[in-house]
Amino acid sequence: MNKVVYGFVAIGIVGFLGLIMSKFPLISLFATLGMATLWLVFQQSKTQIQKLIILFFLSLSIGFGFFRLGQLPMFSDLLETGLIRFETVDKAYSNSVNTRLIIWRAAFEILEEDQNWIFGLGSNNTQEKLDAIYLRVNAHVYQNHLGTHNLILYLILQYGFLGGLLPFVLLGSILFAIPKSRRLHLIPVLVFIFFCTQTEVIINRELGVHFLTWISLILIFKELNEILENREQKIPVSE
Amino acid sequence: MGSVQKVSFEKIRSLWNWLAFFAFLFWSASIPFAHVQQTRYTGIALFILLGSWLFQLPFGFRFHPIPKNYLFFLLFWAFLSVLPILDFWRWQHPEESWNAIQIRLPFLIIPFLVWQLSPYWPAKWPIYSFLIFCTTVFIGMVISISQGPIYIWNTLHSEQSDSLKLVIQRPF
Repeated sequence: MNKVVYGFVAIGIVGFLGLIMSKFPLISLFATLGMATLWLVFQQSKTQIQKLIILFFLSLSIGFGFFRLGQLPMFSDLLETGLIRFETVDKAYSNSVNTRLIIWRAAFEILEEDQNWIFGLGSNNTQEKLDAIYLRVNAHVYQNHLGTHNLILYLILQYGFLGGLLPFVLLGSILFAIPKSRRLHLIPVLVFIFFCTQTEVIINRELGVHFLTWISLILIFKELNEILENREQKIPVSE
Repeated sequence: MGSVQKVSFEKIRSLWNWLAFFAFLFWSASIPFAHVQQTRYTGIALFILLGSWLFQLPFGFRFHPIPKNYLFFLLFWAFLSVLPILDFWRWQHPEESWNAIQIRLPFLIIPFLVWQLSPYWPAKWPIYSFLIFCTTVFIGMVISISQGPIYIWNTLHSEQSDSLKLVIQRPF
């Protein structure tokens, strides 16, 4: 009975937040991923009614998110022409989605034209080059001196090949470490974090660095402690 | 005399380990507000962790080697934290490079300290840490939701900096 009540409360809160956040399509999709995680967490204990409620909120969140995405002129243009062009960006209007599209397009333009693929451009050079492109494209983005807003693009632009390699190896290491610890349901959590890194440079924020460090510690180090305990038990006591 | 000394050493080590454990829990609780508290509480917790490890060194502390399977994983994190050194090499505004290294130092320091100290903590320390983290987030949620839906809507759709906004809007 308790599990049913807790299930309803948890799903209700996440669904409520998902609906609020679906103002921002990308965040709505992330909320959907979070709910998919919930789906896996409750998979072992849920009833048929819980299944239906989770399915309802999942489809609502996904549907509303895609509906909002389709409404944006940037995306309709993308669907029609297959390209994101600067000319279609409204210079007076910016939200969290088209701002990012402008930034990513600018980052790709730098990658095509003058990227140092071995050592990267460095923090100041990257920002100067981005600002130069923002200046002719969008005043809002230029005034706020926005960064790359994508962890992989950030690492490739600033640190070249070495930086670009890092996130893949990091994610790969985590994904290889987790199945050994039999906590497969945590993989969606890490996938969720990976998707979040695609819209923010989280290692430039204190909150992002601490959160990533902490979640990796509690996921991975428990397993390490178990290995250590087993090893200590096998050591013969000579004294 | 030797046994008395051994007992007192054990007590000292135990005391420091409990202190380190509570500092870790304190750090877990403060993470959701990391952006707001500007390194204050995380700094306190990290210095207690570091101090606890250093003060135990003279009292027979045993170094725990890191298993090879996970060494690769931890080395890459360490590499990520010191990557801004490339900017020093280029000599472009080294102060920014130093700031970047400082903000990413937890990647390098915390896993090492926790690996050395956690064998002496309660076995369910990750669960306790997770519960305390969730409690902080939940309290933040309750406080923000209690302000009313209009407040949440305005906070989410405005540029104003707000501690509660960070709890609601995004995980980072």
